[in-house]
Amino acid sequence: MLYNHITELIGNTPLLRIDPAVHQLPNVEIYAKLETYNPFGSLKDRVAWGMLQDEIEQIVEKQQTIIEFSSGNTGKALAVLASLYRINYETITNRIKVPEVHDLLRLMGASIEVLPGMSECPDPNDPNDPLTYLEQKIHADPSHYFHTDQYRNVKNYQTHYEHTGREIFEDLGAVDYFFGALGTAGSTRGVSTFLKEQFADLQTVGIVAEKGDFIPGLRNIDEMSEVGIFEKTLYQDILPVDAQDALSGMLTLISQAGVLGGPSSGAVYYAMVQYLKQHCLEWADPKKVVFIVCDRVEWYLSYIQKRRPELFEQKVPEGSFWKLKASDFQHAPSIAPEHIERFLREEDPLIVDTRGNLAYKIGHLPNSLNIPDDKLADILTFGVPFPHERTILFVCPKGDISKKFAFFLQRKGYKAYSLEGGIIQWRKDHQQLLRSPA
Amino acid sequence: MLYTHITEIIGNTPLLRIDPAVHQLANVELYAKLEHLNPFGSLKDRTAWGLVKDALPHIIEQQQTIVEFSSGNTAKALAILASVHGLDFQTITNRIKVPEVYNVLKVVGAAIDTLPGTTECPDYVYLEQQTGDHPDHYFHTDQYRNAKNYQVHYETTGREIFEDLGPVDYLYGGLGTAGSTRGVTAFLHEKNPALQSIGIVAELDHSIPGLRNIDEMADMGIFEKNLYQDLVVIDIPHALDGMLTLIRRCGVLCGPGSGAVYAGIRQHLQHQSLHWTRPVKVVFIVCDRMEWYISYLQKHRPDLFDTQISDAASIASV
Repeated sequence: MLYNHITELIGNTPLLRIDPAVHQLPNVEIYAKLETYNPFGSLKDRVAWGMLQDEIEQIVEKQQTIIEFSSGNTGKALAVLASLYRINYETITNRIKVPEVHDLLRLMGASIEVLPGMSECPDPNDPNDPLTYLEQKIHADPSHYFHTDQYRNVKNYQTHYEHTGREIFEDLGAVDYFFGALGTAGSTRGVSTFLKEQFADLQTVGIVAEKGDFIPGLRNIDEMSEVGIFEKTLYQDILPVDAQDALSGMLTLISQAGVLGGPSSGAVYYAMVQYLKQHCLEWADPKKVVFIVCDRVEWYLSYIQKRRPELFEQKVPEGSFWKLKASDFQHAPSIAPEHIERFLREEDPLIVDTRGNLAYKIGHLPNSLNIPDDKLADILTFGVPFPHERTILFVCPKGDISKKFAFFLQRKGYKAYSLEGGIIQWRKDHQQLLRSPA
Repeated sequence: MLYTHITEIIGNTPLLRIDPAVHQLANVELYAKLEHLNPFGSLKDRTAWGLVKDALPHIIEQQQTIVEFSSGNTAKALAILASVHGLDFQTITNRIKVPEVYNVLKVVGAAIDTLPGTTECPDYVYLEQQTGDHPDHYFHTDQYRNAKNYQVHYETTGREIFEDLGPVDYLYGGLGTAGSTRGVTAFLHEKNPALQSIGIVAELDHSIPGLRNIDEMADMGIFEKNLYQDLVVIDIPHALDGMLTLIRRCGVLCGPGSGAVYAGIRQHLQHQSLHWTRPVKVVFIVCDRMEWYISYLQKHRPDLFDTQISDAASIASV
């Protein structure tokens, strides 16, 4: 087929039936919508183009800078689209946790502004929250910026309603189950709304990251409440997945279905198969199930290497931190806010703040030291950098990541605890946070 | 569109017209065949599938291990094709120079047998030693000598281009195994005997993934020198400039090999196209995707990756 512009290639992606020999579920037909087939590599190509398409002439005329809060595929697609039209793109982000993603965005010509975000998760009451910061920045020079605003822009889900959902229906007819990864929730909302209009019995299941675990592109359930276009009532169920299970799902898709999806697609596949396993035996007739393969595996290598070193023939010490399962650390020892004063007085713990360095600089607990979580996890793969005779208190934004560290060290015989509620709760209760000198 | 196996999605790739404002060549209509949009990410998806398709029932019955000399896209595609059919795949290669390429091959389940040496030429003696006692355990796809390598491009890639465009005046291809260029050229030449086919190779001592240099081409079994009206030699800086133009101006997220071909077209046509009296149709092949070449780009163009990190103080004061 002949095309005149790369944007004409966005959408109309293939729908692939997954061989039942792969998923091994009776009464189930699973179909994967291969959004990896979009020209820039992800389902966000549709979103980015959907948000720009009608405005692009004006943006070019005014020579505006496109600006968005994204550390992944939306940023990638917007960066390419902006550069096609010879305008600037600026991405605002928290820590980008996957270095390749950062490098690719630079390569596309995006300028990247990394913000600490006091809490490292959206918090509208926090002046250092990235979204708040973004608004202030635009407000200071409104005509200079075009904010695509993916977390609140209805075009984010409309484009999936008009295209992705419709395409699936045209290929399959009525769909019984739709499983979608929840990031901005735009694709899931758009697709599920369209499919539900065609077939009212559609069941929509959302997939989120387990609290304290990181899966690129997914949020955890607490973070979803901050997303403007997330509608909880749309979902019959919401399933949490941890990173290890996401990678298992991803490797199944790659090695058995030939689908080169990334970790978030793996998360959806894994959670979906587990969920259907519970239900499908009761079904009298086969159900049609659809999920979306969001993006490609190639730019997540460092993420995979940390969590599955054996794939790369690297020697792994027993009990690597990266291998922890969410089910292990959910009940890690924590110190409740009402007991924290006494705990600090009596135990005089070593306080370890696991947030990014910029967040730490802006505000931290007195006498705490800063080792960002990914660095600390790497160190813990080879040894414990703390004295065994000291009590240790781990601090993170909300008290979920710190649980992992507390659990890991308790298991090794250390007196380690997590600060329940994290920095956010501490700030509410004590106000007292110290700043590092500039 | 609904498919029941990933191999059905191989091929039928889009052909994209490159905006003349980008290439700035007079009298030239330039078209890019977007092979990076194949399911495993390169034109080698066609090659790999072409090499195993017919033999597959036999390979599965014998539970043979597929073996090939490849340090890149052919290995990636073969590894996935093997694994979806429950088979093992082994690639024999000298040092893989781009670490991500090695890592992606591991993720897709390839066994990698690394040989010493720096040239990219297949070592058939070594292969014989490996398979020696149990040759029937192995299926060697033999991309460098197997006629199916170019036949698949004759039957599919070349035909698709012709169906989209009609007669083509110029074809530019990066020369690695030379299979795709040979196959496409053969088909398009039958339709237009005046077709000019130009091969792009790497400058000596310039390692451009997917391309060979002119000395190495002599070792390729299916390379036919008289097929090409010209060979254009490209160095790394020009290849990367070409790649950046394709990425940033055309939205084609391709790797350095494709960038080299684009740079080769500009170099080759810049002056001669000025003398043409009618528009000429030029086609080139975008071989593979950019995402697994980041460390290569960092090495050769560190300037692209500078970044600024906002200072905490400036944020709080906004």
